[in-house]
Amino acid sequence: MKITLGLKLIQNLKGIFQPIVGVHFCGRYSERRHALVCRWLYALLVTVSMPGWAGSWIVHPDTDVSALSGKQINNILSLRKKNWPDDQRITIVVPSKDVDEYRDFMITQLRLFPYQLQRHWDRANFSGKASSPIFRDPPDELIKAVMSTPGAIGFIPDDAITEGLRLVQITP
Amino acid sequence: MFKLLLSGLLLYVWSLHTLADVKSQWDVSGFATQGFTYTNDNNYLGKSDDSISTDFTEFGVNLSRYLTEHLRFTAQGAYRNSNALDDDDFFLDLLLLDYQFFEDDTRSLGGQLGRIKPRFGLYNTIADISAVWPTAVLPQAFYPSSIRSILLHIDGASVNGQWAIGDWSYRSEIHYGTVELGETFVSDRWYLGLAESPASDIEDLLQLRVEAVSPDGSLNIGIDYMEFGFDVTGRTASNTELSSTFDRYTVLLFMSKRWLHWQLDVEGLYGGQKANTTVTGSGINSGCTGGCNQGLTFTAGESNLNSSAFYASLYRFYENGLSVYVGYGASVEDSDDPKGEAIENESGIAGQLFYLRQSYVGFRYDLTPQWSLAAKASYFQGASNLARIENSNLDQIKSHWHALNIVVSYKF
Repeated sequence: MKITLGLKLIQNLKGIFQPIVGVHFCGRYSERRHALVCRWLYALLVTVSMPGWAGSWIVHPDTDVSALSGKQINNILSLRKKNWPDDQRITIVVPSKDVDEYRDFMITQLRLFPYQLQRHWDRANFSGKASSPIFRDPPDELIKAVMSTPGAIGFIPDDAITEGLRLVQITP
Repeated sequence: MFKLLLSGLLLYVWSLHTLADVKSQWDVSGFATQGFTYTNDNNYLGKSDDSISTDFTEFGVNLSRYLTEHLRFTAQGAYRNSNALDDDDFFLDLLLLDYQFFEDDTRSLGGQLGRIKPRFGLYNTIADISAVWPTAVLPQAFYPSSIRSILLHIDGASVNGQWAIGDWSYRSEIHYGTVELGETFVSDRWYLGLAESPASDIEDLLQLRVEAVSPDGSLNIGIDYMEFGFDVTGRTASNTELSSTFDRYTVLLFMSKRWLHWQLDVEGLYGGQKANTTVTGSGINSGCTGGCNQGLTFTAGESNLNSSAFYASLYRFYENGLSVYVGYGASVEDSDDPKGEAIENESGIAGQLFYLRQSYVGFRYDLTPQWSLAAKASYFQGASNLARIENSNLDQIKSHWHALNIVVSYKF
């Protein structure tokens, strides 16, 4: 618990001081307000230039889906799309803990941090709009949950991919 | 219908033999929240004047299950103690059937029946706490405690849809049902001499929302409309002969633009209340001391228009759930009388009870996926957000005051 909180504190400080790192690049501006604007622009650029993600979506073997568009996966994760085209109910399975690949996917594809989506799911759940996803750690437990739940879709890091999994390609 | 549904649910759960059976067949989740409130003047969420009030406790358990691929059942029981008026009972917060009629990549249509949540103003994404009902730390210009109970749930039905025009998607929801106007709401009218007792009341409520979402999902623009009536015909306050029907409608325009770290929310509310009222007598109620109403707040056939505006900006510190926001909100009960001076001259009630301006700064931090901490410091001018029952001596309500709310939440 203490270690987790410590790591979170470091991540927070990283977020807080990200604009300050820009000092190195913005030293040429002598006027304070120009330097300040430069630092925030730097922080924005760092954010915009996020890398891709090294993870994959998998579905239950009986789910006849091989590709999803960005908009489709957005609709699924925001709980607006509840059923597959064959009427089977969609069950989302995701990691509960900070997983780099999952976080990178969220930032790159949805432009959201995972905790924002988590809050959206909480609101939907406690206001009766939709049921929460299933949370599983580590990846092999997540894979088990997807394989045993008809209609399930789950996210795993690429290094957890094994033979026999049904991968879903995410297209722009 | 609710007793029937509840009986059916209890019979079904009774037929399951073990807790493991329940957990394997139902999605079970819950939340618990404790709030701490301090104000330098006035009482908000309990006796918060010069001491810390802990009169904000909520917890609930949610059971959900798909009965078919398209039909979902949800029940949620909850306990709420948020000020002097809550009766501290565990109550049924949700009991609904949710059905998805059809959906494809661009369109969907669904509906809910039972005890459901209206979505008036819910949930703006700046300041709410996922596990908490509205209005604890939300901008008070929009969510005063006097209408909190209206937002909790209604008994009725809703229809929701989504469709696309070009790259934009559009969503709409219609809710219709009966709402229990809680004691906080009714007691405010009682203090004004417009109800015979502070007891709760049941009235109809209609709510409509239409929302447009940009292709990348980062911009939401929408409109919310809510209307409900309040009939106090034939009621008699202690010193007042009263005949009144009271209709209130509210239009809320909202816009939210989201970047990865930054977010900007702007909301504007315009509302009206039309009272067809005949009042004779002094109108002073027995529980009200000091400058209470003289029975002239609403004269026959009078309409008054109220308005609110709310601006807030939020910054998210990287990926781990720390977000900080600043905001400003303002509301007036009567647009023609922004400082309540006219009504003060007419009725003797302090003008600050009829407007509110609030500047605030706050943060929310998700310590772990289960635990979250939120705090908000506010500076107020005016006091229209206060529940009269918590501040029964209207003469002593201050027009300039500040508040600190801290809320700790746990969910599973």
